[in-house]
Amino acid sequence: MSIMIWIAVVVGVALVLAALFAQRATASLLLMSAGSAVLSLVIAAFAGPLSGVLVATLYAGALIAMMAIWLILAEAEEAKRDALYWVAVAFLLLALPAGLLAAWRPVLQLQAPPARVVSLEDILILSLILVVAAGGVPYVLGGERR
Amino acid sequence: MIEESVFVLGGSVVLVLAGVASIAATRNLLKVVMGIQAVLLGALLPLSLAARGQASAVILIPAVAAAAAEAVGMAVLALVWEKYRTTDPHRVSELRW
Repeated sequence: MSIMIWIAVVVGVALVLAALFAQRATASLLLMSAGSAVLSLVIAAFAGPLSGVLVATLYAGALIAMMAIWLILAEAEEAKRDALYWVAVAFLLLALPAGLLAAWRPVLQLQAPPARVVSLEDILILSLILVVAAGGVPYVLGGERR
Repeated sequence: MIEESVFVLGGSVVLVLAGVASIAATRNLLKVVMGIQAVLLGALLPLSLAARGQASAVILIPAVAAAAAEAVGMAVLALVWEKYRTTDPHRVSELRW
């Protein structure tokens, strides 16, 4: 068995355990989504990539939907400057250069030939990341307005 | 060196036990749904090990069924909140003896 499968099993189980016993519901959902994605790597290694992709998309997508439902149902809360707060800040800082790169792409010159041309799916994925960062990060940073 | 089947089965047992413990101990319906998901993940791991090198329909159908079960859990969560304004399963239970 590959060492990567060993690492994936250990990290996936640890993430799921941390999700089940985390205090905050949002952090718990994030950890569970990450754990499901890592464990889907193990399933993909054993039962083929289609099974792994299916498990990852269904489980992570369902958890993100559950996070949306939880944010609707949960009581309004003030922003807490904890680990989740700084993760959100890091994602925001990573999303801003991505947007700048997308805006300045026509004037950039690559040194090596690109492995492939940019497709419509790449732009859609980048747009999705920017939408999530623009909509979700201010919510996490600022808390909900009463 | 531990055999791979023993290692994966150990991980799946840990997932199932943690999921059952979470379902039994929590007072949040969201954690109950997540505990169910942990149990289902623990069941899918040895199933994928058993389906190694074979047609993946053996694991595709249970994976879809598990995701559907989670969607039902989310719907139950929303309906329980709408009716009772709480997510504590102990407070909303009308089937306890």
